[in-house]
Amino acid sequence: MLKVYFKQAWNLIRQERLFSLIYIVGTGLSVSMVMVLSIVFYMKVANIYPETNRDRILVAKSGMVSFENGRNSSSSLSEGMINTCFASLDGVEAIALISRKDGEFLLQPEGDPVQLPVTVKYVNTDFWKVFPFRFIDGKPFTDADQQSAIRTAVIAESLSRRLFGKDEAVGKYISLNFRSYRVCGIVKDASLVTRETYSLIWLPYTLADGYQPNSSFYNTEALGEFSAYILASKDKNLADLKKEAEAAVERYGKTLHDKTFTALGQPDYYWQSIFRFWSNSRPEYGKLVLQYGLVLLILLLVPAVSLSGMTDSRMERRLAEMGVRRAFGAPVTTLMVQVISENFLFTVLGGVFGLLLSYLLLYLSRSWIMQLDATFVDVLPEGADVVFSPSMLVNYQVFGITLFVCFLLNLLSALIPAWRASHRQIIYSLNAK
Amino acid sequence: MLKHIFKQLWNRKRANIWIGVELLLVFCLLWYIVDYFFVLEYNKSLHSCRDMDHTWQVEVALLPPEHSEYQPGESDSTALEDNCYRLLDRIRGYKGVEALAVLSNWSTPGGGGYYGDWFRSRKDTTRSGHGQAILFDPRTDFFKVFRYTTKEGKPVSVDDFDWADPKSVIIGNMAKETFFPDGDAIGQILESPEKPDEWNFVVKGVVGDIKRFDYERPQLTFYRAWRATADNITEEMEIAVRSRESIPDKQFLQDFKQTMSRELRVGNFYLKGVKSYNQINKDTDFEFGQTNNVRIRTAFLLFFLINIMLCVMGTFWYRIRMRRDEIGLRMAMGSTRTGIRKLLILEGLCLLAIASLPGMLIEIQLIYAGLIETIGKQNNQLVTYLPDHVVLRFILTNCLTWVLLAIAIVAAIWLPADKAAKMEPADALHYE
Amino acid sequence: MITLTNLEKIYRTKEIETVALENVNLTVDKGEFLSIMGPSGCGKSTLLNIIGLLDAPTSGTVEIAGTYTANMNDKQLAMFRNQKLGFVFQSFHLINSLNVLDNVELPLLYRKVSAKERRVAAEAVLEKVGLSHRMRHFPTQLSGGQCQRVAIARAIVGNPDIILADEPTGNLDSKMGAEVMDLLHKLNKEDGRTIVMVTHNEEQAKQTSRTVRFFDGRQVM
Repeated sequence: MLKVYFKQAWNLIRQERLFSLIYIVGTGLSVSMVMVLSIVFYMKVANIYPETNRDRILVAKSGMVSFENGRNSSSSLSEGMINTCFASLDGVEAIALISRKDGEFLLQPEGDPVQLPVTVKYVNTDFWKVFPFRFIDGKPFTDADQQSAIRTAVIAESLSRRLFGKDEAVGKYISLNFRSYRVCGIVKDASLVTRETYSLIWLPYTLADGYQPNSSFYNTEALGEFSAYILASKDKNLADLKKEAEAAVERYGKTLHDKTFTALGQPDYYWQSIFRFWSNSRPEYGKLVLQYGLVLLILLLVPAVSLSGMTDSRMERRLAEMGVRRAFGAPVTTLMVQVISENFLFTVLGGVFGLLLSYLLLYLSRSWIMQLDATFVDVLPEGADVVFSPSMLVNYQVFGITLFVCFLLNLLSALIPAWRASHRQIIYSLNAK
Repeated sequence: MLKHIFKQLWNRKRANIWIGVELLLVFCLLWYIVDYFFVLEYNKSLHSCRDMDHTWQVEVALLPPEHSEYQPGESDSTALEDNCYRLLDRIRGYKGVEALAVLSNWSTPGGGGYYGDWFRSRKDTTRSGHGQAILFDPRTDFFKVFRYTTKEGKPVSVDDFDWADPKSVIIGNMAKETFFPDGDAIGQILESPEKPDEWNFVVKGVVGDIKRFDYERPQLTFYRAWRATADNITEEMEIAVRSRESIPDKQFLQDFKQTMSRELRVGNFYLKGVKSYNQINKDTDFEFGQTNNVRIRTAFLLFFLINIMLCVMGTFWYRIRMRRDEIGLRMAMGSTRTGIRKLLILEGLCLLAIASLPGMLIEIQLIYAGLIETIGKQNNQLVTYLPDHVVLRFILTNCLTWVLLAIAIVAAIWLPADKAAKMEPADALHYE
Repeated sequence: MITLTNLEKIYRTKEIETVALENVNLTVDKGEFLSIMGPSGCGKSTLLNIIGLLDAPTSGTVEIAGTYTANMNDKQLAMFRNQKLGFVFQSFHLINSLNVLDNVELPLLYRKVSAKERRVAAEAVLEKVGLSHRMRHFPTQLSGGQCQRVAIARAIVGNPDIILADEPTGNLDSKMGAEVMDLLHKLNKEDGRTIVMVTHNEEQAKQTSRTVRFFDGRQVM
C-alpha cells in the first residue's frame, strides 16, 4: 500500500517539478534551521571526543557564600570545597579540576623570533581519567609531578607537529612565557566544540601563578578558581549520586565559619551545566524550555502554514481523484493516511536537503554558532578554528532527530489539508475540476 | 477594481485562508525583527563626537625575569617611569603618528571595560546621574587622538582646558544639560551623592557627546585626569595613537610594527602588539553578544521572507493553473496581458492588506506585554529619541514591514503572473 | 437487486429549495441492463448518485442486494461501494499521476488483497477490455475511448454485482462510443452484471433491456 502511495507521489513530483521544488525547498529550509539548533545542542551534550563520558559526569562550576552581614560573594570553587564534598562520595571514580585561571600565554618556538599565542589549561591528573584523551605518545603528567609542581606539559598533536615536525616530542622542552616545560605526552587534538576541555597545552594546576594548596578567595573557604567534573563509576546511578552530592554540599555549607555556602543546585548533570552562566543564580530551566520551545515552534509553524497552503491547493486539484477513490470504497481514514504518507515523501526529500543545508550553515557560522545562546561570547583563540569532525554531524542521533522533525513537520503541514480533502462530499469532489 | 478583487478573495476564502494566516504570522514576526533593526539603525545614525578611524592601541609589556635579555637593574620604579616616558617619546616621534594619548585601560574606547561615576550638582543636589568616567593622562592629547569635537563640530584639544587642578573634570554636553540646565557649567562642582566632601570635581570644560557603542545612545560622560606612574604602568596603562590619514591603515600597521619592534626595546619594555580601535570595538560587539544578536535576527528575517515568498509563489502557481479558464475569459472580455499581471499582483497585495490589520492588533498586544526591546534605552534620560515615541515608532515600523513584505510578494507573484499573462486566451479557455 | 421506494431528494440553500427527485419508485432486477433517460437537470444523475451511495436521499429507502443503506456509517458505506458497486463516469476520472495498471488496481487497494493478486486481477480485466498492451501508459497518453475502457476495467476489477455508468459515452465520438457500449453489453450478457446507465442517446437506450424516463425529478413512465 505504502509503495503505491510513494509511487504516485513520485509521479506527482515528476509531473509538477516547479511546485515540488518550491515545496521541498520550503521544507528543507525549516528542517535546516531546526537541525542547526539541534546539532548545536547535540554537540553540546552528547559524548564527543574527548568528553566521551558526558553521560556519567556531574558538573560543579560555581557557588555562593553569604556572610553574616548580608553580603554575598560568588565565584568558582576552591579545591578544599570540592575535595570535602565530592571526593569521599560512594561511586565517584575521579574528579577533574579545571582552573579558571587563564591569561595570555605566548610560546617561544626554538629559533623563531615570532611568539606563538596558545591556549593553556591548568588541570589535575584525574582530568585525564574523566576526559579520556587519546595519547599518541607519552603519558599524562604524574601525581608526583603535580605534587612537586614540576614543569611538565601535555601538548596537542597539532602543536607538537608545528614545533617539532615529525620528530619525537616527548622528553623535549617547550618555552612558555619564557619558562621551560618538559613535554610528557602528546594527545589527539580536541575541537573547540568541546570548549571546556579544549586547549593546546595542559599543565598541572599546581604550576599556576600564585597557587597555594587549599587557598580560597578572600578567606571564603569555599570559593576558589576551580570547576569540578565528577565522573561516576559505570554501575552508579547518576541521579542517586547527584542527590548524595547535593546533600554533601548542603552539609558542608553549614560547617563554615560565620558564613554559609550554597552551590545553587549543583552539581549539575552535564546538560544542565551548559546553561550556567552566572555564579550567583540558578538558570531558570522553565523559562529556557519556554524560550527554546517558542523558537522551535516558530521555526516549524511558519513553514508548516505555508506548506499546508500548498498541500491544500494540491489537494484541491486532486479532489476528483479523492472522489473516485471514495466512490470505489476508500474509507476516509485510508485516504487521510494516503495523503499524509504521500506528503511524507516530499517532506523526507526536503529533510535530506535541509540536513545538508544545515551542515553548510553550521560550517559557515562555525566561529560563533556554538555560542549562540551565550550571554558573553568568547572570541576564538588567535589562529584557532572550530573543527567539526564527521562523527559529530553524521550519526544515528542526528539522523533520528531529522526524521522526527520531518515527521512532525509533515503532520503539521498535511493533517488539516488531508482532513479537508477527504471529508468533502463525494459528489462535490467528483464534479470538481 | 479593488472591490472586485476583495469580492473574489472573499468568495475563495477557503483557498485564501492559508496564505492569509501565513501572512498574518509572518507580518507579526517580521515586524518584531524590523522594530529591532529600526531602533538599531536609528541609534547608529546618532552622531558621536568622536572618531575611531585610524586609531591604534599600542601594547607594550615587560620581559619576564626568566627572559635572557631581562635586566634586573631596569625594574625599579624610577627606571620604569623613565623608560616608559622614553618609549612614549619614541612613539610620538614616529613619522606616521599624528597624536598620542595615554589612558587607563578601564576607558578603552570601544572596549568592554566600564568605570562608572555617580554625581550630583552641588548647586542643585536634586540633579544627579550615572555615567561613564573616562580616565586619561592630561599630559597627552586624548581628545586629539580620538578627534573629539564640541557639540557644534569644532575640534577640541586637551590643551584647551585647565588641568592644573587635580579635581578637574571635563563633561559631555548631555551631562551639562543634566546637571546645569540653566547656566554655565564651567566652574561648577560635581560631587558624589555618597561622599560629597571627599569625592568632588570642578567642571573645566564641555565637549560633545559620545556613544559608548555605536548601537547605543549618547551617554553621560566624565573625563578625568589619570596619570601614568610606576604603580600603574604595567597593569593599567594603555597607549593610543592616531596615524596620519595619508598613510593607508595596512601600511601603517606593517611599518610601525617593523620599525618600533626595535625602537621600543627600552629597558625591559618590548612591543607586544598593535591593534586598531575599530577592531577592538568589533571584538567587544562580538563578546557582548551584539554581533550574534544581529546575525540571529538577520537569519530569522531571511527565513521569514523566504518562507512567505515560497508560500505565495506556490499558492499562486496552483491558483493560476486552476483558474486558467477565468484568465482566458478575462482576456476574451478585453483584459490586456498587463492587466492580468496587475490583477494577480494586486490580489497578493490585498491579501497582505487584509492580514496586516489583525497583525497590528497582535503587535499592540506585544507592546502592552512589554516584549518590545529598545536598545540603548537608559533610565531617567533627559532626551527623548524617536524610538521613545511609541505611536510614531509603531506606524513607521509597520510601514517598513509592509513595504518589505510587499516587495517579497510582488517578487514571488511575478513569475507565475508572467506565465499567466503569456497564456493564449483560446488555450486557456479550452483547458480542462 | 435494487429497490428504491418513495425516493425524494431536495436541495436546500438559505433562499431556495430545489426538488431534484420526487416520489421515485424503481426496481432493478438482477442481470438487467437499465437505461435512464431525460433532459439535463431532470435528476437522473442525482438518482445514480443515490444508487451509488455517493449521496443520501432526503426521504425514502434504498435497498441494494438485500441491504437497506439508510443507517450505514461512513466505513460501512465505503466497504459496500467497494464490494458491490462499480462506477463509470462521463469524464473517466482516471488518476493522471498513476499509470493504467495502477488505476485499474485502485479498488483492490481498499481490500485486503496482496500486490501480486492485484496485479493479476488488473491484468486480466485489461485483457478483457483489450488494453493489455497499454498497461504502462499514463492516462494522458491515451485516447478518450481507451480511457473509458480503462475506467470500465477499473469498475469491474473488484467483481461488483452492479455497474453504474453516468453517460459513459458522453465525451466520446460515435465510433468510440459504440466500442464502449459493446463492452458494457458483453459484461451484461456474458458476466451477468446488473448495469444502470444514464444516457442521452436514444439509440443506446433502445439496446438496453429497459428504459426509464425522467422529467423534472419525476419518473415519466
